[in-house]
Amino acid sequence: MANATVESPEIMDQDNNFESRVSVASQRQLIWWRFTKHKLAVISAILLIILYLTTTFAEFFATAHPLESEAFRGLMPPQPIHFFDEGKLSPHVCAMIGTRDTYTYKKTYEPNCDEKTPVKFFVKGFEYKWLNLIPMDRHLIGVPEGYLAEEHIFILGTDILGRDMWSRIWVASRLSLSIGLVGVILTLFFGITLGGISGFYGGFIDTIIQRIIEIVRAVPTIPLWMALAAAMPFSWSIVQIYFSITLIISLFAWTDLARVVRGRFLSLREEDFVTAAVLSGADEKRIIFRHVMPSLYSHIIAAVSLAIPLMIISETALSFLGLGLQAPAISWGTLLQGTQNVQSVALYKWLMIPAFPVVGSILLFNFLGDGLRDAADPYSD
Amino acid sequence: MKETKNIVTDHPILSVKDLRVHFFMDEGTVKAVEGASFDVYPGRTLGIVGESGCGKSVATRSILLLVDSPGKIVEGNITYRGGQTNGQETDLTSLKISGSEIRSIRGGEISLIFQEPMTSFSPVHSVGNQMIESIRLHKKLSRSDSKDLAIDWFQRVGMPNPEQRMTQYPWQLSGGQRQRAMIAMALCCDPKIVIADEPTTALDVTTQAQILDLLKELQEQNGMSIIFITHDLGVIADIADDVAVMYLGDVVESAPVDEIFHSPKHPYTNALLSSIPSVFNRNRERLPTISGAIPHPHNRPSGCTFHTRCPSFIDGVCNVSLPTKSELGDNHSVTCFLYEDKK
Amino acid sequence: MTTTGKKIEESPILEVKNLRKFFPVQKGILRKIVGQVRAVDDVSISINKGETVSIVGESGCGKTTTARCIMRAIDPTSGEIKFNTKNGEIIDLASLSRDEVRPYRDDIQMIFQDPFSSLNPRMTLFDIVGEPLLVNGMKNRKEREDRVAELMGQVGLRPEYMQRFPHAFSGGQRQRIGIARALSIQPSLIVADEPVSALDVSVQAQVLNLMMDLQDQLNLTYLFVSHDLSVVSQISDRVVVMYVGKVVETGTPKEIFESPRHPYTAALATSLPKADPRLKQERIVLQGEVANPSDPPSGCYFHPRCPYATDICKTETPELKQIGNGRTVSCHRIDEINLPGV
Repeated sequence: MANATVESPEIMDQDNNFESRVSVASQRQLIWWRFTKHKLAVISAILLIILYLTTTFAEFFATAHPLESEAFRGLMPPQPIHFFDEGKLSPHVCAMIGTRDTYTYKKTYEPNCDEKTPVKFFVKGFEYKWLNLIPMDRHLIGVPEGYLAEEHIFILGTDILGRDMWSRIWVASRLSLSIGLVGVILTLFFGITLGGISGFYGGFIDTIIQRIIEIVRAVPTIPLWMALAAAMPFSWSIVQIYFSITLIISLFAWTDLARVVRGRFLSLREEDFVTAAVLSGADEKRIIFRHVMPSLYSHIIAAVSLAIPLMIISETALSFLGLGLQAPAISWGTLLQGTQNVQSVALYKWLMIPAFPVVGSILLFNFLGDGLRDAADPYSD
Repeated sequence: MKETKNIVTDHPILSVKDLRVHFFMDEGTVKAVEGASFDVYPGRTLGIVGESGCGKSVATRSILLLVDSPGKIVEGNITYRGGQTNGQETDLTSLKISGSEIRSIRGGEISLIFQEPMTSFSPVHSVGNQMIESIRLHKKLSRSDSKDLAIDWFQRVGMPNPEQRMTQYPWQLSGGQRQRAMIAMALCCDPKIVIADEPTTALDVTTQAQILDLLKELQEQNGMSIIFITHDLGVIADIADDVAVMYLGDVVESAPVDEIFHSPKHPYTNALLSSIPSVFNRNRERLPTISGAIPHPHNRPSGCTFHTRCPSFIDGVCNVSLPTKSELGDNHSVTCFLYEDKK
Repeated sequence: MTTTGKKIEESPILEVKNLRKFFPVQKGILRKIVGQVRAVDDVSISINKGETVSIVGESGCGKTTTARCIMRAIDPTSGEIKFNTKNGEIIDLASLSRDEVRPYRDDIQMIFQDPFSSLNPRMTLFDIVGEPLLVNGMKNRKEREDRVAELMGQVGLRPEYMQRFPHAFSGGQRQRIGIARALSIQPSLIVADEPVSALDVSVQAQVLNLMMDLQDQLNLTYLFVSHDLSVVSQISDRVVVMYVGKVVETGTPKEIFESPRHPYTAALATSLPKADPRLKQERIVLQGEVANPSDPPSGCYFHPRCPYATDICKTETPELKQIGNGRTVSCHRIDEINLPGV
């Protein structure tokens, strides 16, 4: 084989500023630059990261033990923290005096600002185990020595059993947000595998898998979940129920991802660079994983960021309807389960506060997913 | 096979002077057209030739104010002298972009033939319907009169079975037939100027020959002017009477077609002519090439934009200042320092 | 500036015999087969080592399908593709399954038409050009880097650009990368599918020169597919003209264009716009449209458009006849008509 080097006088030179920056940028960097143009998506991403990080420390932010109940102080309205006391910086809460109307037997609470309980930050409070491993007792918000936080501070009021709403919402957030993550792993697995096989091989296999997807999507979910909820044994622990719920939800959520993956495989299969890889002698496995899959990652990330809110809202809805997690499990859905009555809507509105984090987190995920989806294809310009 | 038309004595029907069209993008401003000037004479075909990035499409679309944002015409005059009363001049750049004046000119006085007829026809309307709509818009005829006129035009462009074709959709026609339909639609309102943007690039060679012959025939019958844009010098030699050569937004040379091919003056024109493969070259002869590559639109070279690749580059002159247009007589003009003192 | 460094041997490196590729036309819910698209209909071509043979024709003539059949990117319906491998064995590529063909893939490589879709945007130049090397056994990374650097120099690109991604390069440069990839495992035959059609005129010349230089230096054999007659006449030793799946004429570029013997070739040659306004050309203008390969006319496929058609042309398919050294024509009226050329 001749080793001659062809001296071509047209050796290309590309050293101009704009070129250099873009030219050495890898795919990932191009996607990143496009993503950062979406201010809303970037803000959502930051907020979500903060949300996930803080809910890991749910107990740190809580003021009372989420399960501790005291019927005595049931259905107390929120106690806002006042930061200034006659012009001086002195965080405190006003005590709540409860009276029961002798005629209607309805309890009402009035704040009495003569009795002030000072609020301190980073104080000791009830004990908990962080991540079920490390025993800690520090909390962000609390009361000084001599007082008991769980008797004095109820930032968002209490529920019917006298449990602190603020603390319960923090713990619920942790559970509900994590269900999204766990469930999505299964979704990823089913979606990529089945979608990939469908798109890459086409033909008969594709037809079969697509029909399966259509059947799965056509199944009416609520009756199905009702049946499954009825079928779950009472004796199962919360954890077992938790995982079986995520399994059930993800068995139905993978279809969206499968379709996206299939579509990409179908279009990429026809590209010249895939043909070139075939002609170089690469075998099927190498073509799928080395040549086609890398073009998929960004779409998968985008699809995943839209699958997570689906899981979250599924769990919330299921538990809200009583078909999923039940008390004493604490999730957004179970918190909202107690609000399905006129009293909550008319008189004890603070019980519906858990709806806000639900809506908020889903919105954030959707904004993030939109931004990722737009950034996923840097060549679509 | 082409009768040489006499050297022009009339006034141009369209004059583009010093046109500048810039695209304002996040990464920077792209100067797509930067100081282009050319004239179109009645009854003659102006061929605009250039490679990608030279701005030929943008320049001609600016005539009809069809510049997509983020592009804007930042400077220049486009004077159209074919108005309703003969001799009336209109500066097209002064018209409102979506105003009624320019809309009546589009299709009525100046029409456009696109490169890809498949994407420029609406896929959900039959070709006949689209023709009739255009006719009624500009000629204010009744529906049945418009239909007759449309069928007449289909006949004139050599469409087989015109009545049947009228009811068909664009995807039912072949490439050549679609292009004929496009030409019929462009001409049905008797425009004075037809802008043809690479109309034969997507066609086979034999179909291309048919379409070029058709355009020449129609020009003889109607007396309209044609602005023909292409990158193919062979097509230019076939159909153009006058030629403007563009490079990176500038017109570097313009002359009657014979002059361009037999006595080209600008180094780019020269290099372009020698680098095209031809059936007349000796087999396996190496083609002379232009060194380097077309600069990225974000990085226009300073001074004369061609200086980075020019075999006659003069250091200190070509990379420093912009050359001005020199008239060499017989309607031949060049923008190059080599000819600057020969005024 | 002619270089005659290359030598053409007498022995064929590729012999295609009676190649056919039909695509079924399916209609209805049950996908019943209602017809066939006769994309390639009895094509025979032979290429000698060191030659450049071009297949030329308009859209729908089957030239790309023929090239892809030869590459075994698609499976032929019938026929033989006899390939003379590096070791001297002669293998019929058409008779092997996809898996059986794989060991021979290092001997035939392809250059694609579209510089934008033929390079994987997620892979660096090093990955792209080095892929054939890696797949065929060169596991050592340093070895690959050296070879890729050598290849990049051969095609006129700076080796430092190895870590860049395709989007950094212009169309002409990307085609060079494609050429480097095709050369990497030293194939004996390169099939080039319209390699310069998507490039600007000034860049076309550079890439064509490069391909001719490489052929001289590395003793390559090219099968060139194009619709552009000027390009084909510039670089080919022999030209094969196809129409609707059939070969209508073969010969050297000079013979084909200056003295064509088939009316279609004459029409192609004379329709080509010449870059000289003073040239007065007697043109054969064809009527009608290119025939439909799923429903071709009877007899000679070209007869509805042929200005010289007679009765026999409507009923009998003409045979491909040898009329000289390497010169073949498929027409009933060869001896009767005198055709204009360029």
